[in-house]
Amino acid sequence: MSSRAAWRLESLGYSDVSDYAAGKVDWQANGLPTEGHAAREPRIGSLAVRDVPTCRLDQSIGQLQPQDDLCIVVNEQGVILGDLRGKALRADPATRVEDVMNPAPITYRPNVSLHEMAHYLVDNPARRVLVSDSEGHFLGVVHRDDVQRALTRGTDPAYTLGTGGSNPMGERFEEMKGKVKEGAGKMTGNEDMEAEGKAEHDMAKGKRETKGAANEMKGHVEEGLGKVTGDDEIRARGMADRIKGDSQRAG
Amino acid sequence: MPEVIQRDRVKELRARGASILEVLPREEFDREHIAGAVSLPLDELRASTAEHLLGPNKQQPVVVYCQDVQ
Repeated sequence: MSSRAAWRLESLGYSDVSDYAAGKVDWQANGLPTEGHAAREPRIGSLAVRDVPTCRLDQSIGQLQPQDDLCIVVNEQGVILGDLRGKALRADPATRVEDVMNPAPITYRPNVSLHEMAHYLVDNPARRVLVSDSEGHFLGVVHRDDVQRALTRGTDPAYTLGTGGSNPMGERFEEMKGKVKEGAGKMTGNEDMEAEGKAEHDMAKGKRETKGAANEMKGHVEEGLGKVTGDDEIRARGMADRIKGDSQRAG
Repeated sequence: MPEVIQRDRVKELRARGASILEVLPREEFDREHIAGAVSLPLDELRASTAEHLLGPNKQQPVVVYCQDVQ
């Protein structure tokens, strides 16, 4: 579309027309300034921690100084080539980075909204995710805890992202616990335990779904109100509640 | 012939005061646009609207963009 517009402007006599073909998606993906009502949605770029150790492919494990069990492998241009976590960082000190790194870490653009990120984190145990621009340059690391803090700031403190089953505060954890108990009961032939587990699972699930439906409904109402009154803040808050509710309901 | 440019060049031109035109529908523009851009949807692009928005100087640098390469 921009190409046609550029040619049309030339046909109208404009002599210095350029076509930014990569467009708005590219601009947003690199965290550059935007305006408009959606521009105020909180993005993960604002939570990215940039002070993270990096290393090169040809270094050895013994040369690294990882922090928080993480080291990002980049080239001279700062493009992410991999990452090292956990076991890889405890490999023999003489091991070359490229031999033990994860060569395909998932990366996110800084313009991903906090709510989109929450959807991902609800279903994944990742403690943090990498942020890069559209050319793959390393921009920082976003921590699960920071996303959760930002999302729950001033909202329902019971809404937690869980940590893939290790956070006893999460309703999904309660669901999982019930499911495990139910399975254990089934396996051992303990019918009481099986029934108890099922009841715990169903109760936690019902609680989560009810909460989700309430948030979704509240979000719809706020969003509609925001649209009618032209109040972008109410609309954005409604949208956030709706997404949160949807995420809670979907589990 | 319009030149296809990359992000860094857009930044330079923007800093030098070039006009940045978003040619997507206005709702898209209202939702989010490059800071400082103006809206001129492709279906409204005519001599009169262009001149109204850009003024009479047809030698000035103008950058157009839409969503992405698609």
